[in-house]
Amino acid sequence: MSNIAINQNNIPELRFPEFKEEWNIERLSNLIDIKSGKAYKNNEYIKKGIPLLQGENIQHMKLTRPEKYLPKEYLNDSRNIALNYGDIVLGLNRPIINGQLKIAKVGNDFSPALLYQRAGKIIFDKNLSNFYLPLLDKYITEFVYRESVGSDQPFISTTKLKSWKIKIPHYNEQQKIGNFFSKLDRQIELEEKTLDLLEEQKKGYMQKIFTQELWFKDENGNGYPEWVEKKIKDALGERKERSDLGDLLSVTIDDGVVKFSEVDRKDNSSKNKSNYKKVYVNDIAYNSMRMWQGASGKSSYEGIVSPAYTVLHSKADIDMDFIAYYFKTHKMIHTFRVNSQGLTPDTWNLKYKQLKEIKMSIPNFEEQKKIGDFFQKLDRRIELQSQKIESLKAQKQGFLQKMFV
Amino acid sequence: MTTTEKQRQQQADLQKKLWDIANDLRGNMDASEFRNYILGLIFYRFLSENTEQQVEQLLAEDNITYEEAWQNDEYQDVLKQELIARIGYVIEPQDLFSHLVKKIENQTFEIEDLHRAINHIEASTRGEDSEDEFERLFEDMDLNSSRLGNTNAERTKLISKVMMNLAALPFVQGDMEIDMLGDAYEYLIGQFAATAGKKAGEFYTPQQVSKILAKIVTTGKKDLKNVYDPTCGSGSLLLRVGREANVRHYYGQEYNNTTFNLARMNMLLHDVNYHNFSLANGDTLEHPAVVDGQFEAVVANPPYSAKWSADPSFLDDERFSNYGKLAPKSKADFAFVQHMIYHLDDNGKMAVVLPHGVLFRGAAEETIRKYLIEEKNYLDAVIGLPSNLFFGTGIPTCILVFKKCREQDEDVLFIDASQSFEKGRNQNHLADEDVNKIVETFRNRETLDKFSYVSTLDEIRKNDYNLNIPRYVDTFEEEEPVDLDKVQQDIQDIDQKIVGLEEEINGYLKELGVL
Repeated sequence: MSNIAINQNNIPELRFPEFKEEWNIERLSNLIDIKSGKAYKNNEYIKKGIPLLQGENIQHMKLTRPEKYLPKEYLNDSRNIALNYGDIVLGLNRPIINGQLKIAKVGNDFSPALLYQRAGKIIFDKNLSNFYLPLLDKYITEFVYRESVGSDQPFISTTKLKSWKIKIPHYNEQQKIGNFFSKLDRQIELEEKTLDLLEEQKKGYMQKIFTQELWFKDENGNGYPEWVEKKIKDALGERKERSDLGDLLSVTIDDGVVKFSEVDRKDNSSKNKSNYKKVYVNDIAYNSMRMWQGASGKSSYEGIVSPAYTVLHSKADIDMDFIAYYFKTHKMIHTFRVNSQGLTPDTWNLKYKQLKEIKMSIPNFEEQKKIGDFFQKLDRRIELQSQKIESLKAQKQGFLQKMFV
Repeated sequence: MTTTEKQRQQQADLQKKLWDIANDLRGNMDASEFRNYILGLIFYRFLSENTEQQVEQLLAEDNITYEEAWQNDEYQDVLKQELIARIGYVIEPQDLFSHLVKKIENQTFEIEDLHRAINHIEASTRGEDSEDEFERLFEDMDLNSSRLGNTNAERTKLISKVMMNLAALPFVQGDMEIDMLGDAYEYLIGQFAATAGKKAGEFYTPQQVSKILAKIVTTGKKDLKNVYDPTCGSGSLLLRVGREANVRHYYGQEYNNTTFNLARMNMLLHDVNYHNFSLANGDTLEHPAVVDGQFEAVVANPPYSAKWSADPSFLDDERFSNYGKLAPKSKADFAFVQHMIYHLDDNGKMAVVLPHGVLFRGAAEETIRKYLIEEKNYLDAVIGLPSNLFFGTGIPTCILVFKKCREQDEDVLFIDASQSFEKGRNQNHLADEDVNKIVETFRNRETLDKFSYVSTLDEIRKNDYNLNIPRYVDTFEEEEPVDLDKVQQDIQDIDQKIVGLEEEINGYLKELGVL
């Protein structure tokens, strides 16, 4: 194999200034070894024991919890595939998903573990763990792209991989690069944890604000008037206007109302859209078949939706943001399920006819606006956090490209 | 082994052997076609042995065989009379199953012998009280069918094989009870139903569902004057009621002719004397066989949302006339309910399996529902069953219980048993505990958390007579509460760490000249 031209300049584009030497070309087999996991039979699994890590548990820089367990004794029989803290594992089947290599470091929660077939344990100098992770990520990704061209079911041949040649700096530079990348990884990890916490926090406020365990005060520091019980029909009317003009909109459980052109879905909409329903900015649209799962949202767009949806407009003194969040509370979703009709969950349906009779407690307009606005801000914060994480990942990718030869 | 264990063992053996025979021999035939032969032959052997037992008693002191007695005109007359009075039919010695088996062994058997034998059975009942119970009982066993073979010789060979296999099984001997044979017979019906796929639901109600209905309608009763099933299928639901209480007379009607024949055989095989059952073949709604009877127990598992004529003339039919509206053409569910209620005795109980739609569908069905609840106050309980319990249909069903004189007439009991089941390969099953829990809850009429609810009529009114079970039985699971203080603290801690980390990273970035 000669994947590297010998006379190429072996110096990375971006480098810590104290290092000057050229990087050396090495065959991977001189640096690492790879052991494939073992196949086990169904009757060998037990309920509780040593987790068995399978290829599908390995994601990019992340492991998911295995579902199968093996008896403790197996650790003794299979030492070379037993996994411990700091080991690097590699998914050998379909190794790249969404452009990312299935490679990850084994953390404390999966130590010890055993490895199933079509997954590999990488044996290397553990003092350089922080360096090898980005290094292998970069080079094995390249390897896969070059070696599995034209194959439907790409997989990594460990023999071929080991004969692959890569470039590598001297020990000190390895250490420094490793430390740097470990900080980047840690940063991403912390920001992801923050994202989870922000979502958890929003959920907590959803629980407490709609049950009025927590409440806002007006500018004088006084509480708002008591919430009033109303039927939905007193707050929301059904919009029945039909139109075939405008952007096609779609309602999703996670993202509310989105433009159809921006989601990754097959267009099954009928050619003749004359029966489609009109949606105005600030309307709430919901999927009557999925309302019991929370498929509703406030629209920021004017457009049309499939006739299968129901469109709601506000009546006087109703803040649609407030309603949109209210409709996503655990209790409301349960109420929607109870009031849905149909023989099986596949056919449960909540039309306006049933929805309009449901009761909900509603604060005065000012408090509604405050609550709606508060949750909007929380959502915006969550969105910014996601964007930050994406940027950090892109940044890391850039360093991977420039700091390795 | 205790007696019951032994019996259970014997029964399991018998069932397995019967099913094996059926499977071995059916060849290219459709399960539903072969069913008629194997079930018919089992029944024929049963009738033969029943005859032999009776004759043995009758001739106990005469020291003479059945064949010898038959040769004597006087004996023959007395035997005929006695047999007709006792069991309703006569099988002459040369037509007995055991006689034909001998002929098979001697290789003198012809399929025509069997044909003649079963024709004689039916003929023997002509003009007698038992005529209705035996009329055309064997007509589904077409011995001339090319399915059995293209020539007489081939047909003779196949039938001989089946008969010899059946002859090798112990039927009603020693400590084996007649019910076991009946149960084995029903087991076969069930097995055939399970393999027959879609159409099967029609003639078979799973035993555990039948058990719930039977236990409900016999609550507080040891003896029932009568029980009626207007869509009785193979009769297993009726017989199940007979197991929970002494039933003095069974009434039933079945639309499908073959299934109707199975039902009559099933009755006789369960030792129900021909005097004690009246089953009819035909369309219950359009041509009811029962016109003015009132029954102490009424049960049914009618076809779900079947079509019926909904002819306006039915508005003059006393069964339907008071409700103001007829059940829709495409959904006869409530028509069956109305028919059943019409035949329910004032002190009787009625339980019927229906699809969930009857609980909440609008239009005419809403009117009928409202009438039953508001005007009549007959509805006593609504029980939601798990989905996928029945052969050939996955839809979830419910049991409605009606009484004309309700003890607790201010409320209605709702039970949500939709989650009470064991998962099977193709079907869900109700375990004995599930059945018991449902029946106990019904009998105690109690509200259990996430399982049952005693609702006032007023609540039903407020729900506009919509009986959808989740509206009454609250299955709400609280969401895990979030500890907001802790989350807030965690966010702050992480923010701090991020600040420190970013400083370190910035240090590196400066070295790299990126910052």
